[in-house]
Amino acid sequence: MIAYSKTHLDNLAIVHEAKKWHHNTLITDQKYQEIITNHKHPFYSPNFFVRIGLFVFTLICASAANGLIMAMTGIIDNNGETGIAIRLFVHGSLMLFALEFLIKEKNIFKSGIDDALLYMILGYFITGISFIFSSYELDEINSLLLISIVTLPILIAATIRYSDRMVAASVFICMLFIIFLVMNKISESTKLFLPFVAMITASITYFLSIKYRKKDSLRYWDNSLWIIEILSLLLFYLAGNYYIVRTLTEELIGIYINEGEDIPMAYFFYAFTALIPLVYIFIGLKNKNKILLRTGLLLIAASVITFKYYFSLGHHEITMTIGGSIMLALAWFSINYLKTPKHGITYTKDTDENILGNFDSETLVLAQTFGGTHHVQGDNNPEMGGGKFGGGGADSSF
Amino acid sequence: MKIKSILDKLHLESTLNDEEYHKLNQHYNSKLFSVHWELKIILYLGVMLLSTGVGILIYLNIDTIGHTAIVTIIGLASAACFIYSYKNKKPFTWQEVSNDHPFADYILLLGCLLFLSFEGYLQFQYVIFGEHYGLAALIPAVLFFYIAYRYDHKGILSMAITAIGSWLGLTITPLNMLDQDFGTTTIIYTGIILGAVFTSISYVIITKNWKKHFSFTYFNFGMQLLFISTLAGMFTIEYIQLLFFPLLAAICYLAIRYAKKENSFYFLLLAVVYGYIGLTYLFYLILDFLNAFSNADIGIFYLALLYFSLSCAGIIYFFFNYKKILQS
Repeated sequence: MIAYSKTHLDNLAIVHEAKKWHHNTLITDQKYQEIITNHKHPFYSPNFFVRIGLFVFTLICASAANGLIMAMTGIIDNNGETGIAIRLFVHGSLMLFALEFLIKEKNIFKSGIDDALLYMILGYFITGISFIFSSYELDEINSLLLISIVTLPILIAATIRYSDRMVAASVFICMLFIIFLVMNKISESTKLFLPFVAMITASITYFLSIKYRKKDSLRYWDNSLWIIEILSLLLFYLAGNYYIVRTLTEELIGIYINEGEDIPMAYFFYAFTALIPLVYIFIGLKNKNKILLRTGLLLIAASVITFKYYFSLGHHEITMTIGGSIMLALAWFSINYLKTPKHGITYTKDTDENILGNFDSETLVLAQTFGGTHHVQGDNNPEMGGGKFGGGGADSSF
Repeated sequence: MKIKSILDKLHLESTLNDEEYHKLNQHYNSKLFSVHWELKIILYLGVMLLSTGVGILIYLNIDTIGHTAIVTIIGLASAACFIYSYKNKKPFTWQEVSNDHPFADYILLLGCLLFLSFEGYLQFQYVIFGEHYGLAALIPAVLFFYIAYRYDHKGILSMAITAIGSWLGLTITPLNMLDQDFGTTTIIYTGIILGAVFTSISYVIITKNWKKHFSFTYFNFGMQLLFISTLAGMFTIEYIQLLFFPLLAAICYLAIRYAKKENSFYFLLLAVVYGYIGLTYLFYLILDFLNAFSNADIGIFYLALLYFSLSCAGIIYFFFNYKKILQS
């Protein structure tokens, strides 16, 4: 199962929460220290910036080391594609041993090193698999389908073992790709149902992810289920988005839409494009669900662009001015309206929530767009906790 | 782990007593749903869209509106922003001033941006500064420095620093710093000197306690300028390029010391990345030198691979043990 010690993962979560309680002065200093000393974990999870550095340097280091080994053991194998595939599998396995060793002995956890190695390993294995199937001289769809079907269990296994968000997302995408290819293979007319199959798939994965996120025994995979939840919401919308449906109809089925004509069920898709983001936002606010709210806000932009694309009068500047004014007015009105909290919703910052760790993203965006500088300080890492690096001493002074 | 089960677990193992347990439960049950960031982002995007849209509208309708009218409108809007800020100003102190009004900072920022357009428009249309481009860049710099200190605005301080840079012919916005035309050596030396000045300021204001919280902004600009100018010198100035290596090493040392003191991993990363680029260039120069004497192509290829794997492993080791290494 999971590569990391479950007790340590639990301790990490406890220390992470305790840090917030301490920050909000819900518990005393003494109690905070007590919780930290009682829940030690040996994980090495460095700060965001160090993680980026470690990720990049691990990629360079592993690539150069692989290159060196390949160069020394003979660059050219004369076994053709299978030879290359075997080589990739051997190097992938070598890195897999390195990864397991580092997790076990050095307790790396989301440190940049393990992420980099994991992605490289998967990349090597999947490329190796493609090389094997490309030697069979199948037609394109069959070979892609075979590659995806063999890849899927590998990705699922990697998600279970390492609980990585990116890999979980690739499981989802790989699964979709398989469904798409299978529908393509069955017959020409099944393609017409593609949007509806995608919507049904998205609904199933969404409700499954919601259901399993509530299960305490699956808490170590919460990150992975979280990304599936978001991707399902996005997929559901995209499956019915007018632009996507129309493009796919033209590209895949080859129906050419003349002037004055429209795709089948056009009004359904117009309504879907316009309403789904609003539905997401409404349910998000009603059920206090951040994921739905934020996805809905993001998708409003997608819907505006979709309608703009087909019904534009050619005056983007007017759209921008009106859109900007509406957004300004909306924000202004909402901020004033929420000065005193209404319906359990408030404008006050949530002290438990820090976007991107301690990354001052707002200033960063302001500085770049308006030509200033970034103001970033990396010192407080929610994942760092106690243990190796001086425990509570890692607290922020900013 | 869900917060509820964490609380239950801690309660069960009696780390949390009943009172604390109830207090924390209470906290989570009564917690409000915050839409702070969502509204902030909508506000920000609204400002962006509106200002861009109006900008294009004006540009397209310049024939019907007329230049004078536009300049007047921009100037008046800028002045209105400044007047609003002036009326709501707080007393000046050398300490950090917290602003409780959510829009005040934005309005001040908008005023400064409009001032830039105003001045640019005047210069473009009426050439009021003639050939004195330096003066055109210096005016906003001085104004922005004053505003940044008077109203305690870090964003405008950054704009002031950028304006000083452009007065001296340097582009110093974060992502465009590398687009610099380092064709002349003067600009490299200007960059190094300006970087050194900003870095020194950041130290001085900490010791003198003059708006201490501005220190990061100065240090960041100073360091970025120093790093990029030094690397540019290394790459482009022939004959004396080796002199830049000790300089780069010194800057890295400074950045790492600051990183350690302020607990800022951002500068640790900067020092390592720029330092590594310098080191790799030095290695390349050595290989180039070796290659001139012998024709061992494949040997050099091996050497390069060996260099990359060993040096990166060294850096990974450093990141892994930086607390220990830096303490000694």
